[in-house]
Amino acid sequence: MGKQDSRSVMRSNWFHVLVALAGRDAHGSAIARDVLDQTGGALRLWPATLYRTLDDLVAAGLIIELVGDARPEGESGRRRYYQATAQGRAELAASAERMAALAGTARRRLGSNGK
Amino acid sequence: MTTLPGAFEFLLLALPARFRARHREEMLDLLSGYAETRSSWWRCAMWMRASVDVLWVAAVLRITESRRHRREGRSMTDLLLQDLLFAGRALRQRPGFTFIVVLTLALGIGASTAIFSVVNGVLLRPLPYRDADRIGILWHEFGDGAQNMPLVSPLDVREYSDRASVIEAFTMARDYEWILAAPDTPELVDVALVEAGFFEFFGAAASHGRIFTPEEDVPGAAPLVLLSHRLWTRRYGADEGVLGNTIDLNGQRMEVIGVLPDAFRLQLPVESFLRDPDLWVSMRWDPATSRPRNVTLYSAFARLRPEATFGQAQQEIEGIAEQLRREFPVHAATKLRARVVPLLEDVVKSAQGALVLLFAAAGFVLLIACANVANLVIMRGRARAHEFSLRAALGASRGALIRLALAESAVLCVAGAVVGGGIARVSIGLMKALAPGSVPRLESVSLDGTVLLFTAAITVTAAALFGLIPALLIARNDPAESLGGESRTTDGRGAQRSRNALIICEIAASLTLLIGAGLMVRSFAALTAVQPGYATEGALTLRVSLPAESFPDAATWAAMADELFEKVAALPAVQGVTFVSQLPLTGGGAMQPIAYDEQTATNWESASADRRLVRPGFFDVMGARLVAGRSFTRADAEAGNVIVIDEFLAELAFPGTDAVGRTLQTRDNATPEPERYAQVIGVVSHMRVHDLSRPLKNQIYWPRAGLRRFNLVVRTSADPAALVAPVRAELARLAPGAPVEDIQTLRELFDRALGASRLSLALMSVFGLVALLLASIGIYGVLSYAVAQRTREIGIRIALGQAPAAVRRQVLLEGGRLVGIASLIGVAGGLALSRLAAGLLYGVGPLDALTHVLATGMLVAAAAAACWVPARQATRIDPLEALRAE
Repeated sequence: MGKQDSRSVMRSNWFHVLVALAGRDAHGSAIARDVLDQTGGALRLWPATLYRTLDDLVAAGLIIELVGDARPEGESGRRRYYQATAQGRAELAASAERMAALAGTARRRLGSNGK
Repeated sequence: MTTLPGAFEFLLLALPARFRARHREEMLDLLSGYAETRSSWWRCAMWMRASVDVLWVAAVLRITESRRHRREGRSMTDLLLQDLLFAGRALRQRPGFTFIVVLTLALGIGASTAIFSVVNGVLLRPLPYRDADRIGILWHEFGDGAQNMPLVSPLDVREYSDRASVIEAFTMARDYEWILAAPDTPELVDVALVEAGFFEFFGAAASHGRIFTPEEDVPGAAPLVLLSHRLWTRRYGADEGVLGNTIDLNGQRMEVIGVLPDAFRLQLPVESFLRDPDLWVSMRWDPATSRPRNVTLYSAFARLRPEATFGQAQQEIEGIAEQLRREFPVHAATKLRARVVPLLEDVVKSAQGALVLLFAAAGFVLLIACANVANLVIMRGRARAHEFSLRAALGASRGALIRLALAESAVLCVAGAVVGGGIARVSIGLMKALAPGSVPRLESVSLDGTVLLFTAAITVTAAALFGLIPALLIARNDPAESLGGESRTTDGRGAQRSRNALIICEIAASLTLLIGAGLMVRSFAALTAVQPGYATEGALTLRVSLPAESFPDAATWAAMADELFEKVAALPAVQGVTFVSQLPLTGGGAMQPIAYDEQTATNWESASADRRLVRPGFFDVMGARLVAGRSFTRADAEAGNVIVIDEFLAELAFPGTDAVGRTLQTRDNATPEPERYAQVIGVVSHMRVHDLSRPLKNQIYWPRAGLRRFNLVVRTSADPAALVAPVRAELARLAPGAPVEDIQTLRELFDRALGASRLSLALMSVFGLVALLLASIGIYGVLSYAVAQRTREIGIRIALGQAPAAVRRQVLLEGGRLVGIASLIGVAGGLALSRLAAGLLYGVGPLDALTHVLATGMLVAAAAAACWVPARQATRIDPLEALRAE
């Protein structure tokens, strides 16, 4: 686990979490809410899956957990905040590229076959 | 819905500890965030979904973790884990099957775990004392069944102590209710007078301060007080400063020397007068001033020598009682007999019957669940024969396939056990809420190690059972045959027969449970409808204790009562007001020896009656029915030598004649002239004050104008709660410093008395319905599988011109045959079960026809519905499709 084949599309949970963290640093609940919004309510990350995904992303070096002064101000210590790493952002961008390319192909083919 | 997060938390235990520690709080936060502003149904579904998620992630994490640990080689555990992971994946691909099996197992395991936790907590777990299994309580029995109480005279306790050898130690305690005065609110507290050795006997020590020494427990010594933990925290804010201070108990100053730990609670049989007290006072017992031996007011405990049995102790106690009968005329006259009963057994005896029955019922639910799952697994095993054959053909060893089958059943059972544990945890909370105070020790019930061990044991048994079925199928399976072009589409007769047998057992067991539940429902309905002999609606009661300093004698009590009654009667909506020394359904009361003929007059205590002191007007206000004669007047209260008795005592003492005007000899050991004659002026219908289900103890009523301690009963046409404030205000004005307690309605007392029955009823009903649901699922599964297996046959028949109705009839008949056989067995089982339950039933016989008919009807209806769907499927088979499918 934790290895991504660079040619394939990134695992969907990873992708959505990275999208959520692309805009801002956030804690688990906020990420889950963001994913729910992104997908129009279609993808609900259940608690165990969400935190396992976050652990895996940390292990893969795509995100880091914020500690000490890096945390947002006024936050008590309970919630863990996460931030996408440069590598994470790069992989997300690459993934998005591939998906866009795939989407383009799909659209072109549908267009040529469409009625 | 507040219980769901609790069950979910329990489920989190499946996750690896490190993950759980890191994310537990945030996971719970997230889930409760999801739950906000949603309906209960949605939340329930959400909880289920999140549980599956936790179990899945837990499996994945644990397996990756173990892989990380042993990357060097493939050990047995690694293989096993791999199998488990694989099994989990396979099950996830069949969510419907997995869901039904896990839910079925969870219901069975949950029900048995919940009931076992109660059986364990109430019946099995030792009392929290040192050498608790060696502690017994003494019972004294007088006359021929006249009085049989766990109460002994202290003089006799000393005789037992001096003469016993098998019993190594005795100790005793006596109950009082005293007024604890304070600057703010005085209150009535339960007090136990105990010997210095009492705490050592039970293995208790003070948590703060100290306990009394034998030197302090001698006649004439200053009384010393130990506080219970609850009084110490409630009244003194757990302040250690109270140690060494004096408190005012019943007008006497006493020094507080210690506090007992929270865990130390006295557990006693319901018949005992002693209760777990608020505070403990040194006994300082003086044999010289002790009351006669037949005045039994002390609870006495015996501790056996380590090697002794209760049988030996009983023999010894009987022997000493015989000596006492010879030595003391008073014991000879009453034919004293003594028993020593294991304390735990005595404390829980009231709950034992119901718990054993419920445990049996839960066991049935588990068996039904197992039968269901076994059927599902067999069917799925047949359906997967092809898959397994393919795997075998591709090189999987037979051992590997069997391991895989076992792993699947292990995953199913563990998931079932985890969800079942959650169900049990929620149910325990519900049970505690349903019957507070009516089942002894219920508050100490929890999912402890013993219970988890029990759950683990039934889970492992179930897993082995279900795993073995497909494993055996695999072992017997010939890959060539399954893979060959002519694959078998129907099972052999043997497989079908075993499925049918399972289903019949299942239906029969659920019918048995339904009958049990039906009897409980009927019994509870009868109990609720009992006419106890007094009106329970619209009556407020409260307990008043007048302080001795300001109300020293009977004249002051009567004057206070007169004024109070006048004021309360004038309140709006009040229809009547009276008092009684003890309210109905509040436990055993004072028993008074009586005599009405030569035999009873020469054998005192061979007959006795429940004695209550009442204010004139009592019978009217309570709504009791006067059978003969008249009720009390104020003049009777002054004269004091007239009584009203209940119909049963009238029949016992004066059979066949009019009791009114006759004389009864009574005895009151508490007064200087114990024996006196009283004239019967009236007979009232029996009031069920001890047990709603039956008349118990004859009753004798004495008139009183006032009492130092009384239970005020105010009858109102409006809401009783509205009277609390004005009545309290009057009491505060007329008797400042008098504690007012136990403010409740007669209805509440009545409802509380039904608590244990309500719990049994609720549990049996739930078990019955769960069993019905499971059996219906089982029937449905078996029949629709049978239809699917015979698609080709049915297709051919339809092609040959058989009418769809005939096809349907055939499937229904097949189902009907199973249900018919099962019903016969089920009714027989129901008869057996209800015989077992006869002692718990009220107002309905074990052979109650209505219950049997209704339960059978319900089962047949559910079974018919379950048969109908596959029957319709059968008629919809398209012959062309059916034949092409092969």
